[in-house]
Amino acid sequence: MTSPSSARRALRRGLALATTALVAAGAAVATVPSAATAAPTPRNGIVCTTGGPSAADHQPVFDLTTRTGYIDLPDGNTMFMWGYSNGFDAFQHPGPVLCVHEGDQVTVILHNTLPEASSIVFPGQEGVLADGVPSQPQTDGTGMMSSLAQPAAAQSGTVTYSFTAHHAGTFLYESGTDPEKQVRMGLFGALVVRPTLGDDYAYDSADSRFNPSEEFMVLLSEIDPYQHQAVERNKPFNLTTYKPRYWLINGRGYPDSIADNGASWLPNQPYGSLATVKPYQPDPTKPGYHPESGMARYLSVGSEDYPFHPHGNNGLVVGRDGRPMKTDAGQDLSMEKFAINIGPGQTWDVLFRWFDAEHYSKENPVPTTVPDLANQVVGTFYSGSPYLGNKEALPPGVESLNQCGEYYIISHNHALYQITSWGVTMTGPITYMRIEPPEPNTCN
Amino acid sequence: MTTTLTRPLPGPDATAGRGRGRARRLVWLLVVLALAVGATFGYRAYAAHAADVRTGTDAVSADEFAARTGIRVDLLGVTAQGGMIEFRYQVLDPDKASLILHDESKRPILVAEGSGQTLAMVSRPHSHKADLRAGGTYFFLMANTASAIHDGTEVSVIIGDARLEHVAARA
Repeated sequence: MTSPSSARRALRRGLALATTALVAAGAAVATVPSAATAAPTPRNGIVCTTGGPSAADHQPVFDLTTRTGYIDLPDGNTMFMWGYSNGFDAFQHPGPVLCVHEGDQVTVILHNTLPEASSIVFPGQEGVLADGVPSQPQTDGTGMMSSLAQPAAAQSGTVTYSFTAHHAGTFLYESGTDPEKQVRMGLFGALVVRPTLGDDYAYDSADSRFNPSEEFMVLLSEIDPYQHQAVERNKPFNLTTYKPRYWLINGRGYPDSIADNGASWLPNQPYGSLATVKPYQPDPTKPGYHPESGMARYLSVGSEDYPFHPHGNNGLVVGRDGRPMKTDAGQDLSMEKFAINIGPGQTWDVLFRWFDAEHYSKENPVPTTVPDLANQVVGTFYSGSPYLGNKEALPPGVESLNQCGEYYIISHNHALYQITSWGVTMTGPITYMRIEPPEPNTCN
Repeated sequence: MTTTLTRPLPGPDATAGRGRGRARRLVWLLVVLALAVGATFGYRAYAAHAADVRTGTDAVSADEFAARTGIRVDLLGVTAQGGMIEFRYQVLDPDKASLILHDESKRPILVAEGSGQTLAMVSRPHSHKADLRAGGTYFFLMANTASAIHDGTEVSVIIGDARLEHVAARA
């Protein structure tokens, strides 16, 4: 059998060659001028839809089309959904992430292809117009409210909504028509309003700065499969029997949640939720200088509180429901939280930093105790540990247990019965934070 | 036998003798060197052969693989920004599939066919409380050590003595 030392030597040689090749490839790529097209989809993090060429003039225009389609779930099931697609694209879930700037004149044109009327409401926005008149609740001939906003008629109706994005922050947009059905079916998405101060700030305050490469969305939702089955079959559904069996992050359940944006096996679920961060290191005289925070934008369209719990690090809550955590006089009301207990319809803006308390490196993996067998479940981590890098015997020719010295921490909904998919445990609203190793590294 | 502290004078044939001796020593040296090199390369070849986990396994069809292991491989997904491989499978025979969870010799092993790089799990991934059901979909996450597998990498999946070849990884 090949000795570990010779295997390590061979691996080092291979890594050196690979690194050289990667550096060469990177240099080659870097010399190619970028095309004047939309930025490529980032491998992880928020995928912004920016509102076309008029966005540069602070007048972004979004076409959203209601579509029907199917998503894949972690237990192997598929689910019939409704959703907003970008422009006139095919079905996707959830709707596109609309990114605008504070003060923008935002236009959203709804094109409805569903067999019933539908609308969009923009919680947290002021002065919203629908076809040029105030967007407001609608009533039917009996005086009963039929919609929270002017709807687009079934099959081919169109409504143009417009508003000025007065406030920076994180917001939902969702159906205002029969929301207990239409929002549950998937008619929702996120709206991110960037502050005047810059795209790397959550709000117009210097203390809300974050690193744009570490900005992530956690859009939490739920599914009662019987409701979706009833809608698919055009049958009535008794809401008193409503009971979610699936819970999702960004329209995906774990382990799909940690797959890249645009993963090929999830054609209708474009958004992952893996967070990638570098250790916080504010001293420019030391290696690994990284003085910024990361930013997590939490949103919920669920029917009950979701106590979301990023393991291993707390966060600084700097905003709630699209408003900064400050008094009118500017007093700081931000707070450190270890669990984000996000209620229905809420949004939370949380800055976070990852401190390398153990001086972790590939040569010094964090020693962990692999949980007792009785505490491990189907679908758990490859090693039974939330940390990659336990110090056990390695397979032949393997120098480290992970890709390139990185490190993972789980984040999940702490209502543990909800981290399931119709009974399949360790699925659903779970994702990871990936801590990148010090540079230079062999990650690619 | 007496010893001398001086070197004896060479005889008439001493030079030729020294030449023949040098030649013999050179031949022996070459023979030893050849044996050493041969042994080294032979050992390396043997070691490489022995280290290849595919050795001794049977390349089988997907149907045969399912019949032997009780599972159908649904996905080899390159996930977590390339740091992990999701091995997703559907259980066809819970009794056979349960061995994957509880029998160390049945843990899935992945071999990147182009490079021979091998990914294996070093500890048990599941609980005895696992309730595998026929038709159910389950998964392992495996570290993608040194980025062994990329989008499109053809992979051999080994469970026990069964080998399913040319499974394309996806990203």
